[in-house]
Amino acid sequence: MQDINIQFKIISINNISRYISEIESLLSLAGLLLDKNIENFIIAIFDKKVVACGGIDCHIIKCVAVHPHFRGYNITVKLVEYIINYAYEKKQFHLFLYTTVENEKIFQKCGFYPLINVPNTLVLMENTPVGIKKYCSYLSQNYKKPGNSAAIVMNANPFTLGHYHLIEQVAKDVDWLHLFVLSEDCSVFSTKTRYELVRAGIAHLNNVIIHLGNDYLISRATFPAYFLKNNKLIDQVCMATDLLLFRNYIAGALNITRRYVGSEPACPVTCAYNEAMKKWLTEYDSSQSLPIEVVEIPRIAVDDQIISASKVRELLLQNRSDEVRKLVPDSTWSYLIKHYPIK
Amino acid sequence: MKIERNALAGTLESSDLLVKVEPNEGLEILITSDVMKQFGRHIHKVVVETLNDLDITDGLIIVEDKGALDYVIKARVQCAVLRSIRSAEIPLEKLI
Repeated sequence: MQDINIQFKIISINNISRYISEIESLLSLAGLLLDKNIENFIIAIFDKKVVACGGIDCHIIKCVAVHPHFRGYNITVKLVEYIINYAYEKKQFHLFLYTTVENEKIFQKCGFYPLINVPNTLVLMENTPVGIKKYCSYLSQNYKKPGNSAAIVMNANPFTLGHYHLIEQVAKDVDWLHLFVLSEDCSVFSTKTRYELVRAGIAHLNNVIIHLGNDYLISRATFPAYFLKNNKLIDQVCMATDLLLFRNYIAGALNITRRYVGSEPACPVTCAYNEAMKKWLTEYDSSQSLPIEVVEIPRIAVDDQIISASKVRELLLQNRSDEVRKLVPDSTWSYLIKHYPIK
Repeated sequence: MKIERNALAGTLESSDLLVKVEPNEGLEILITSDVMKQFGRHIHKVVVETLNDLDITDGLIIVEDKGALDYVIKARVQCAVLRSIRSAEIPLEKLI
């Protein structure tokens, strides 16, 4: 097919108004929605019209669409190449991309390799053939332990007595506990603070290994909600991607056979997550990797109030420090009085 | 010499290749090619020779080949390596 003269352009989300309607209609032709988290769009212009676009959100490429009339000109490859170069300039070297199962092959030609396939829905890819492999071998070389190992994944925003209780209980039950603290810097407390508070709070438990979450522990914030128009489906696929990454790669590297969660009867989101865990971690049909047992631990309560990090944040906002004091361990409390104007 | 930072060279156009280099312990070369069956070993040989000429001992070298000829491969590998090291260290005499 002959080459056509296409120009590429980077548009910051702040200056997008001129192109927004064109981008939106392009996306809708591809069955996609505009993702709210995108920082920059790369657009391909031919004859003053936007014929293809791709968005970049930190290190995640999303919303890639080519106008149906312009498919077959290899525009996707050029567009992705442009995005990769742009990301490298911004010092983002490790890139991820979400696409549909049908389009996986196109992106394989652009140097992306599949990580997770959620059947009939989407594929998560990364721009290196050895990314997850290297991370797993790093984990097993440094942290794989004999005996039974379990895992907990938490945000700890901030670390409360509830988290402490969960960790302490599980640490008693198993030989080794791998604790993953999510590194999502859109939480109220920074990743560093959350990590430090967890570390300080459980310093005396010597069979707990703390890991800082990374690109392979996907947080909600980075998930491509634009993909699916049905909110319920978005949640399900989001959880599936996250859980399959855990089951197919991380659990195997560390010999983890059980994953513990705190129950949260009050919160429908966490409740749904716990249900999804049962499906994606324990069922044989969901993955070829070994199933992981999911154990739910009841949360503890203080004064009939279940302890949760969101409750602590709420009380902090309302300056009700005496109530906060009852919900957090000493280490978190001493951080809070230093950094928050508590009376 | 070690690859000290990530760098990129080349394109994904037909008859070209994209070379990515990253810091790594030891030298590791990963090649994907449209003509892997026919020329995979030869491409590997050209990449290794180019790296040896530049005295690269450590680095992860990822090659996405689209059917490039030898001198293209050599030029792209050299370019990616040069972008990843400090300019004072560039061994100009070895770039022939």
